[in-house]
Amino acid sequence: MAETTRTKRHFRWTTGLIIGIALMSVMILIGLLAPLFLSEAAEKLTANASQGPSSAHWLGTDDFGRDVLARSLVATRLTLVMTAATTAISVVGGVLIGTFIWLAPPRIRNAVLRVIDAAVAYPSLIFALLIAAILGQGAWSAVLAIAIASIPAFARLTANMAASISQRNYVSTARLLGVPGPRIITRHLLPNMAEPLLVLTATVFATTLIELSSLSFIGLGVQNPEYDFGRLLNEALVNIYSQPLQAVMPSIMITIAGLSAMLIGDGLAAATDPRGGRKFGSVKAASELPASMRADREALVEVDNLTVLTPNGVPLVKGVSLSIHAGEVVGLVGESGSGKSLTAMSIAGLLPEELTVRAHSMRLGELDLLKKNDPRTLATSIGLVYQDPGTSFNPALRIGSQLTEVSRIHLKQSGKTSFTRMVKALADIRITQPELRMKQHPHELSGGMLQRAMIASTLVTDPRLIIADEPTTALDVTVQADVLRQFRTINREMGTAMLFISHDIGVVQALCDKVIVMNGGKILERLTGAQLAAGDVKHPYTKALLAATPSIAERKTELVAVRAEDFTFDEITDDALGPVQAGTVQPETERLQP
Amino acid sequence: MTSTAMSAAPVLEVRDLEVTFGSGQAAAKVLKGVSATIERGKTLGIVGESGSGKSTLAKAIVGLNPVSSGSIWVNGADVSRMTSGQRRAMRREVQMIPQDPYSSLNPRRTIGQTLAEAIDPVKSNPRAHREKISYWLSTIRLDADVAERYPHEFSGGQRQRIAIARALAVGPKLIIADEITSALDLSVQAEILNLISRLRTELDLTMAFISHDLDVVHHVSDGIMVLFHGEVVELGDVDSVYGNPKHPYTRKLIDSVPGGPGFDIGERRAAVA
Repeated sequence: MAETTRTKRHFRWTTGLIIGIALMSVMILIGLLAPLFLSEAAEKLTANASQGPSSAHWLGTDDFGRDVLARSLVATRLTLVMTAATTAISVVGGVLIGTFIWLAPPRIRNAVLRVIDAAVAYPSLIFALLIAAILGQGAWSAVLAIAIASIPAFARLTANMAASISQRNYVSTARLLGVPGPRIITRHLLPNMAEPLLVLTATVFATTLIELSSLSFIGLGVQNPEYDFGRLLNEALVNIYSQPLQAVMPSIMITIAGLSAMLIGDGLAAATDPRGGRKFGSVKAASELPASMRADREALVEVDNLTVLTPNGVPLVKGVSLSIHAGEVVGLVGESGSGKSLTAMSIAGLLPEELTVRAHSMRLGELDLLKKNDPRTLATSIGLVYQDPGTSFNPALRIGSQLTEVSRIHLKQSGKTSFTRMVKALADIRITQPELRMKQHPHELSGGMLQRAMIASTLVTDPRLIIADEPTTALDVTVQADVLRQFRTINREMGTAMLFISHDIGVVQALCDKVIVMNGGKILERLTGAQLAAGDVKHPYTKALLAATPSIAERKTELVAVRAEDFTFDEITDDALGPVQAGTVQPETERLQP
Repeated sequence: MTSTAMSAAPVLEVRDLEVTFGSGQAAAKVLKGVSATIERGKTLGIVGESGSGKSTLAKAIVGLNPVSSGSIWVNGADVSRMTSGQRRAMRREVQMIPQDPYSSLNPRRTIGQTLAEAIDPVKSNPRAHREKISYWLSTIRLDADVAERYPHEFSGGQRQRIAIARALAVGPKLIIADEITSALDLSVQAEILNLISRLRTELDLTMAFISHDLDVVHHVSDGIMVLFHGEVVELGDVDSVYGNPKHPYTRKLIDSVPGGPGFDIGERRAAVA
C-alpha cells in the first residue's frame, strides 16, 4: 500500500528561493520606508548641484542638487507599485481570457487562439510602445500598455494548461454531472493550474519591471516630477560623462528587483516539481557476512539474502534468496509494492542509483553481480523485456537500428551482420515481412508485434538469462497468449533461463516452472507452476490471492478481499507450517445474488 | 438467470449504432451497426480487445461521441436525436465511472466537495448535503469523516470506491463502468468487484460493464456482448456465451485467458520437477 498512498508533498526551500525572498523583502521594506524618511533629500532642490560623492551625499547630487542615493531609494516604491499593478492586470486578464477561450465553442476558440498567437509573435515591448503612444505619456498609461502587451502570452499559457487539464477525467466527469462551465473553471481548472501560474507570475514580474523601466527611460512612462528607476536612468543619461554614478544606483536596484523576482520564480518552480530534490544514496554495498547455506551453487543465477534500501534506510526488499537453474522459467508474482520488480532489477543492475543494494551474494554464472561489471558483459548476459512496448521504443528511430543496438555496440558487429541476424531472429519468432519491419518506425507496428520484436532482440546476443518485467500486461489477451507461447518456445528450444515478473496468477501458472510469491519485500511461498495451477498452495496469502481472482472457469459467489498488509509473517516451507495462524483472511460478507 | 417481469422499456437500447470518425477518404468507421439492450437491474458485460470499439460505444452512450447513424434510447427516449438543451437535461441519467482512480478525482477538492458536486452540480456546498454525503460514503463502506479529506490520502481502491459513490450519488438510470478495475491490484480489484456485486442487488443497478478482462466480466455480468472491430460477434447470457461460444473469435478470446481451461501454452506441459 506504500505506493498507493502518496504522502503530502513537502515544500522544499532552496537557497535561490530564500535569497530571492530575502532580497524582495529588502526591496519592499525600502519601498515602504524610504519615501517616509528620504523624501526631502530626494526632492528638495538645493544649491549643491552636480556634486561628486561626499559624506553628506554618498553618491553625489544631480543637476538640481537632489541626493542621488535618496532618489534611487524613494523611487523603489513607485517602481514596485507600478510593476505589481501591471503584473496583476496581465495575470488576471490573461487567466480570464485563457479560461474563457476554453469555454467558448470550438470555432470561436480557434479564431481567438490565432489572434493571440499573432499577438504573442509580435514583440511585446514594441506592442507596448504602440499602446503607450496611443494612451499618451504617464505612469498609469505605461502600466496599462505593458499589462495589455503581456496579456496574450499569459492567456495562451492559461488556455494551453486549461486544454490539458480539461482532458483529465475529473473534468469530463464534472461535465457529465451537469456542472456549469464557469464552475468547472473555478472548481476544477484554476486550482490545478495555480502552481505553474504562480511561477509564471514571478517571472512576469521581473520582465515587467524591465519593460516599465524601459518605457520610462525613453520618456514614455513616468513623467516629472514623479520618478521611478527608469526615469532616474533617463535623467542620468544626460550627465553620463560628468556624473556616471547617477546611473549606477537605479541600475543596481533594477537588477536586484528583477533578480529577486526571478529567483523566487525559479525557486517556486523547483519547490513545486515533485521530481526534484532526490537524494542519492550509496551504490551497491556488499555485506560482509559469510554466505549462507541456502545458496545453491549449482544454479545459474543465485541471489542470497538480497536487501534493497531507500536512502532513508527503509527496506523495500527484505532478505530475498532465490536461484534460477539453466533452462528454467521462474515466475515472481505479487502485487504492487511487493518488491518483485526491485528484486529483478537488482539482478539486472538497473535500480535507481539512490537505492542501496545489499546481499550476501548475487551472481549470474561466474559473474558477480554485486561488483561493477563491464556494461558489455551485462548487456549480453542478461536480456530485458519491459512492460510497455509502446514506450520502450524511441518513436523517432527505425525499429532496425534500435533492435540491433546491443549487437552493434556491445558485440561490435557490423551494421550488415547485425541486420541480417536480427531479420533472422524476427523471422524465427514468426514476425511477417521482417526486412520491412526493420525499416519501419515503432508507430507502424502493433503492440504485440513490438513486444515480440523486443523479445527477438534480446535473443540475438544469446543471453544466459532473460528478465521480463510484466511483458504481457499492456497487451490484448489474444496477443498475450501468443507472446506467452513465444516465451515458452524460446525457453524450450534455446534453453534460456527466464525470470518472469507478473501480477497475474493465470499468466505465471501457465508459463512458469517455478513460482515465487512475494509480498511486502519478502518471499512468502515457493511453488511449481503445476502446484499453483492445481491450487495446491499452503501460505494463506497465496490462498487469499487465488480466492481474490475471478475466473472464467468457475463463477465464484464471492471474492475474498485480500489486504496485503495482513500477511506479515514469513515464508513457509514444505516442512514448517508452524508460525502461521489461520483466520487472518477476512472475507467480506457481501455476496452475489443467490 | 433471474426473470423479472418487464413492464417498462429497457433502460438502454442501442439500435444499429454506427460511429464514424473523420470524413471522406480518411473516415474510419469505429462502430459498425451495434445493437444491444439492457433491462432494468441487469448488467451487460462488454468485452473486446483494443480497437474493438468498446470505449467508443461507452462514449457514444454518454453523448461524448457523435452518432453517425442508428439510435440510442435511454428509458424510452432517443438521446441521439436530441437537441443540446434536451441532452443537457438528460445528462445526469447516464453516469460513467472512469478507469483511472488517480485522475478521476480533483486533487484540490475534498471528498465531500466532490460528492456534493455530484448531488447538486450548481450549489455544491458539502455542508448543505452532509446527510446525503455520509449516506453514500456508508454505501461504499467509508466513514463519514473522510468527507473532509483530500484524494491523495486514499489508496487506489478507496479512490475507485469514491468514484463509484460519485456516480451513484447522481441517481442515474444507467451506469457505465469503463475498465474500472484494470488500474488496480488483484486484491483491490476483488474489493471493487465485491462492492459492485453488492450494489447491484442492494440498489438494483443497471450497468454496462466494459472490460478487456474476461475473468472480471464473467464475475459481474448477467449478459455479455463480444465486440470485434466494431461489430457485435456474440451477444447473450454469460453462462451460455462462456460455456458454449458460437463465434470463433469468442472461442479464441476465451481460450487465450491464461490459467483458463482452454489455454494452451503450445505444448501440453510435461510436469517439470
